[in-house]
Amino acid sequence: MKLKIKFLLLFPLFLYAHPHTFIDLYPIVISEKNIIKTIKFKWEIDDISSQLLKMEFDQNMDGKIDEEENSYIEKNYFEPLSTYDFYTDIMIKNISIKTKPKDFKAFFVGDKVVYSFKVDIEAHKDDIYIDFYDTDNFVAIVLKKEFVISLVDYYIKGVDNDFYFAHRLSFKKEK
Amino acid sequence: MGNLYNDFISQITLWQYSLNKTISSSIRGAEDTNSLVVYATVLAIAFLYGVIHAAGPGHGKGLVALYFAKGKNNYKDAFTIGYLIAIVHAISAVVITFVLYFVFKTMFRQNFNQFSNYAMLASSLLIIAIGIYLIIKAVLEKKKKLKDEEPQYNQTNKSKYSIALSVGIVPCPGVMTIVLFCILLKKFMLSILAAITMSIGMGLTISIVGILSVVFARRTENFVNKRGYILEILSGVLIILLGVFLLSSVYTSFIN
Repeated sequence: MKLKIKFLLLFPLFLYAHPHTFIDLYPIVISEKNIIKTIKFKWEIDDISSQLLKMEFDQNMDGKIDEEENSYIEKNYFEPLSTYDFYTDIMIKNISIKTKPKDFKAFFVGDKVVYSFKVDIEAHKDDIYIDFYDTDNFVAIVLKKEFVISLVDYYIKGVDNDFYFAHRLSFKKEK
Repeated sequence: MGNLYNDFISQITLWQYSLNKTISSSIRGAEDTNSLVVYATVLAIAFLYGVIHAAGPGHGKGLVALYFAKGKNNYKDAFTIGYLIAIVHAISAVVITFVLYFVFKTMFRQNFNQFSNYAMLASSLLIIAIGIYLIIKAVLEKKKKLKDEEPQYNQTNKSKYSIALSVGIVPCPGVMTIVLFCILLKKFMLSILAAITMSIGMGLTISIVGILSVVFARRTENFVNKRGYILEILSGVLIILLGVFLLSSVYTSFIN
């Protein structure tokens, strides 16, 4: 099971490895009157890694992920990522909140494997920021300004936290 | 300093991100046409990907730097070792990829992880053995006071080849993913050629690290001449620590 934690993540080669899997992160922010209610996330896994994953995900080789395969992926590949907080560090009033994803779904879009899930938050926009990073599995999370959909103004920046580099999504304009 | 390092790693990651996209689309391009230009483009990108890929953490750069920092080496040696590491690294990746794909296929990743763990175990033990060898050699030379006169070339070559083997034996995941991607698209010849050009790129980066280390050793030649014995012992100890560090990570993988 633990081997699969390395999932995406291809190969636990520690000293010998670096990002071999790149995830384009697409957040959709659902808000009401400056309250961030929920964020829907879409992880689009790079083409090369996707081809490798397809070999294991699409067990009946029908070119799509059915319910049974989806459950298998969720249980064996996605849920183990809770150890790494799903590479999503949610901070509310400067306190780290455990990421609890819901409605997980894996599917193929063209040649890519895509994961989608949502996380309920319920916090004022000024109180929250989210850092996306991986320090263990050699996965690079890529978040660009144009990847985000939000009615609330948002900001993306790189954050150097000494031991890791993160992309930060925030909603409060920094002075 | 930490910020600079992270910025560097972040930049390397972004370059790899771009190259990853470019190389996958180029290989897919080669799927539609067999034109030489497309093949040449894929191989050129694979070379560049190898150069940048090896610039990230790992690939034996630390070991090479430590080994050559102890002096009495030349640029040719550093260049040779850099390429030996890259070649062994790539060959092990290609062989394991082909074997795993055609033998185990559906459980590819799990089997690859297991192979990697055993390769890393062998690698860490070899690295520790090299460190011990370097220390014993330095102590014996000091005792016999033959350090300057003794023709060391053969012995040194042995340890250099051991260095290349110890690091290279662990298959390069970067090469492996490219090779497997080509295999999945039924581009078998391209997979081999891409692995070769990528390893040439990696060899360049590792060689440059070795050459810089030789430059450093030469610049501190006076110190090395006076305290070469201490430096060789220190180099051996650091290499052993590197091996132990690697061994502990293998142990963690096994117990998980």
